Amino acid sequence: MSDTDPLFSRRAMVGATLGVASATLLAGCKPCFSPWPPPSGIGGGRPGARTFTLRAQIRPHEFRDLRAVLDDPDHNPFKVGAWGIHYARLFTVGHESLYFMIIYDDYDDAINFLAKNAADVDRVFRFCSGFPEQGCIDVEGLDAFVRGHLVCVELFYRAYDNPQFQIRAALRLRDSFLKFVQDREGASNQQLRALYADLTRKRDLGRMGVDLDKVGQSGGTAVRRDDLGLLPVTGPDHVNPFTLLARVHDEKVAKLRRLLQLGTFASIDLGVRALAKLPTLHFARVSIVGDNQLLFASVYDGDFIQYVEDFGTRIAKEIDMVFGPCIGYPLAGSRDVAQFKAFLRANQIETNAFAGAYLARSLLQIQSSLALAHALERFRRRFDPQHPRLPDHLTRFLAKHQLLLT
Amino acid sequence: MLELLQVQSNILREYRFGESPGFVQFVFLQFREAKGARGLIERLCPQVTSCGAVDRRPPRSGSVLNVGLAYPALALLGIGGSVRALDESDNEATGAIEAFKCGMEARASEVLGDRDASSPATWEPAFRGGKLHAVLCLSAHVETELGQLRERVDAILAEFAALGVILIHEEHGQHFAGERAGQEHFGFADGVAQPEVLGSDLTGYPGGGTPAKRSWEPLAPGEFVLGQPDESGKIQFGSKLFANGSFMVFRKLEQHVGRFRAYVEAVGERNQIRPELVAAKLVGRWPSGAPLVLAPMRDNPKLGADPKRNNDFRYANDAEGERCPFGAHVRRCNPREDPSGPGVLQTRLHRIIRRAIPYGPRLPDGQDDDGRARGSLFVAINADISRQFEFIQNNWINSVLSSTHLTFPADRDPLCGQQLPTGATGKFVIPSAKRTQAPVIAWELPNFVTTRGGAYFLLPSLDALYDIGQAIPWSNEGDGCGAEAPEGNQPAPVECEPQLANPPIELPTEPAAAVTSARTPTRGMGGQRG
Repeated sequence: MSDTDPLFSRRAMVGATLGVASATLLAGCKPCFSPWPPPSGIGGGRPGARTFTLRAQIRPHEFRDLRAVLDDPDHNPFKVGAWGIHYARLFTVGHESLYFMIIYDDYDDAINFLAKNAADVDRVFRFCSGFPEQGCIDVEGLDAFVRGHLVCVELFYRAYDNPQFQIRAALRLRDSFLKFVQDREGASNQQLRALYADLTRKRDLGRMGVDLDKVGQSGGTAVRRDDLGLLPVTGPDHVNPFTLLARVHDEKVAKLRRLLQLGTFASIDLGVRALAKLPTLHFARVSIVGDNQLLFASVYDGDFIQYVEDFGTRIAKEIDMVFGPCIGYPLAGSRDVAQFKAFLRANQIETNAFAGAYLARSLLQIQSSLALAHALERFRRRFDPQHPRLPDHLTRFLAKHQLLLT
Repeated sequence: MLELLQVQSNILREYRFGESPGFVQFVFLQFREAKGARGLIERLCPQVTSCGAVDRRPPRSGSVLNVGLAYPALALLGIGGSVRALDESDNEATGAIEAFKCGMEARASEVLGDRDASSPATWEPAFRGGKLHAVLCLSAHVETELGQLRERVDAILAEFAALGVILIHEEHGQHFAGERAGQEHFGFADGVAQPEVLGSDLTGYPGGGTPAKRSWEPLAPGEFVLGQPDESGKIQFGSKLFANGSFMVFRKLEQHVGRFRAYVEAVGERNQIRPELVAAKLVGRWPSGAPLVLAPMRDNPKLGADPKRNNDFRYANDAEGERCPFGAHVRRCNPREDPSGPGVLQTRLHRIIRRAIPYGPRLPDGQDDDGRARGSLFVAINADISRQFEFIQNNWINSVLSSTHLTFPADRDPLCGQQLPTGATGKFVIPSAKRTQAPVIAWELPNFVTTRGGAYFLLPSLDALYDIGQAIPWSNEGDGCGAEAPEGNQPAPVECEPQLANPPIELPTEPAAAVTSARTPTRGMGGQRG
């Protein structure tokens, strides 16, 4: 935003150089966040979830019928959960476009997810031109349809990189561990050892250890089927979706695009580093659709107002950089919380369907579970239940990791 | 400087620690017809106490009468029009007026988290069904003075009984005597951290305002007085009905003292720590009011009693929560500059003035619960119910608090939060300061507080009360020619339009409309209009 901004003044030179370099390098190709992970073995790149945004054209005069399906309370396009899916959402823009966004571990997981929900997904997508005749059952056709309708994701923020099955295991592990901590209160030495033996025997901890050993591999086939169900619930005390579509001033589009691409490609974590200051934001994506529309989609915890205020108070500068070029953005930026809220409300888009693999779990829970799982696995390897000084070390362990228990 | 002679005294006076009156009565009224309501307001108007009037008396003397109107009363009086007009100029996103219009009952389960035993269906009958139209708040430092005031009020109410003014409910609160003065039923000094308000003409105590580099900056008056610039520099509610008024939140909170003591005892026993320490950790202060950040190990009554010191602390040196746990009541509800919390910029948008007073007899120490009702008559003063009171209740007490250590759904305010119905997941972590000592975790937190009822009221300025009583019509536009247009980003009127274009609000039942409109230029809020 301003040149005096410390974060950017220091990087202005680097940014400019890399901007020119990347613009030269990437001239001709469309630099987007790739839905496919980089080929493994050669440097790899950052692991973690991938995403794509699909925009399908609603056939003329069929919007009303589509809307009726989306508004049908019995219709849930994401009823069946699937392996490797973090979050998925569906929404319409105007009468012309239907958007589908998904965050997954592997592209095949996403296709598999759609195929599994074929009956309900087809009910929505059959109003769109180009959708395969047989629907999602036709996996080849579906794949071609998705590839043909991808929207460029300019910026993708992830608060955690772990695959879905690992996060689920870590969350369960934390629950078991908290139960253990509670049960151990007032227990005798002997009972404590028994409880600890019980905990380490549990599948969660055992499997967690296995899973952690195999990061990046396709392990964990032993996971129960019901573990993967997506919960279609939203509300307070839940993870919620936020979708925004705002028009950008025409003359500012190019600059904004460059800024977003720098964030993704040149590894200058413009928005990305700043977003990590938000303790309630799981994922965020920014795309520029059409000629001049900014599409922002995020997954956050809890109450909308609290989330917006976090934007305006924790990462005001960065948010101003991304949203600043939009028409109707408050003059004083996101620090003017009231006007900023009004801007977001005015441009917010209703998310018609939303599902996630851990909607009742907050970002902090996920992060602390993952950290705790690692620490606990280390502890388990070092101390068996008969270790003479187990109680002492357990106390030290709890004191050291007490912030992960809140 | 605020117009203190216009602002009712329960907005900005006698709310700070040690100053609050010892005897309070809330008299809830219902109006059957507009005429009786206007008559009563007209009659009460000269008796209503302003901040300025309190300042003229010797300290801690005399009695105080304040009047609050709920939205149904405004609708009945036909000045709902002014409220509607405000809808258009008011910032829709903040929902400031919506909370007041809907009332507490409608927002209780969704926004305030009043569920299960606290759900509005179980509230006392007077608070249900939108029956309440007005509240008279009577208070005094001496019981006999309150009695005298009550007699005067009763005489007036008797006069208007024939005109459809019905007393439907009342609540009596009284501070404990002796060394327990100022404490609530759980045994903790109440109302210690109060906002310091710019222009309120009170000497500020450190800790009241917003933490700045080396000092505390007073909060903008618009956070508590309508029609004044607030923390974001905006002026909301500039119209004549609202200016110099404020919104009052009333809540009757039943406290389960026996349950609280037994729980604290049990946690202490399981973990071999003193129950008093457990209780203090839940609250974030010691019984005397001394904050844990300044007195981590034991109570310090001298510190607790000193208003210049008992609130002068920050959380920067307690980033790990070793002194005051992250989830402690005071740290959640007023996070100051807490590095793990939402930060200064957010905290200053969510401050309230609290005036709570206990009701019911105190449960003597060591005695089992006797089943008698006791608790707190909680009053919050704020300019934007949804942004201040409701936000704190919804987000910081009953939910996630933008914190890097607390998380939903399990972590809720241990003292007054509505715990999850299962009870199994609510827990409270007391971090340990030693490497060789495990943190203490208080498991399965029960609900220590149950909501018994509540309502939202507008505390109009004295001029507004006069105008309502006299049925003086207002224009819809506020005083349109001033620089204080209610909405900052909308083009202000270039010049004063003659008000003829906007017909005055109809007051069909008032024959005196012609007479009163002639008086409008000389009598009005905020002085002369152009």
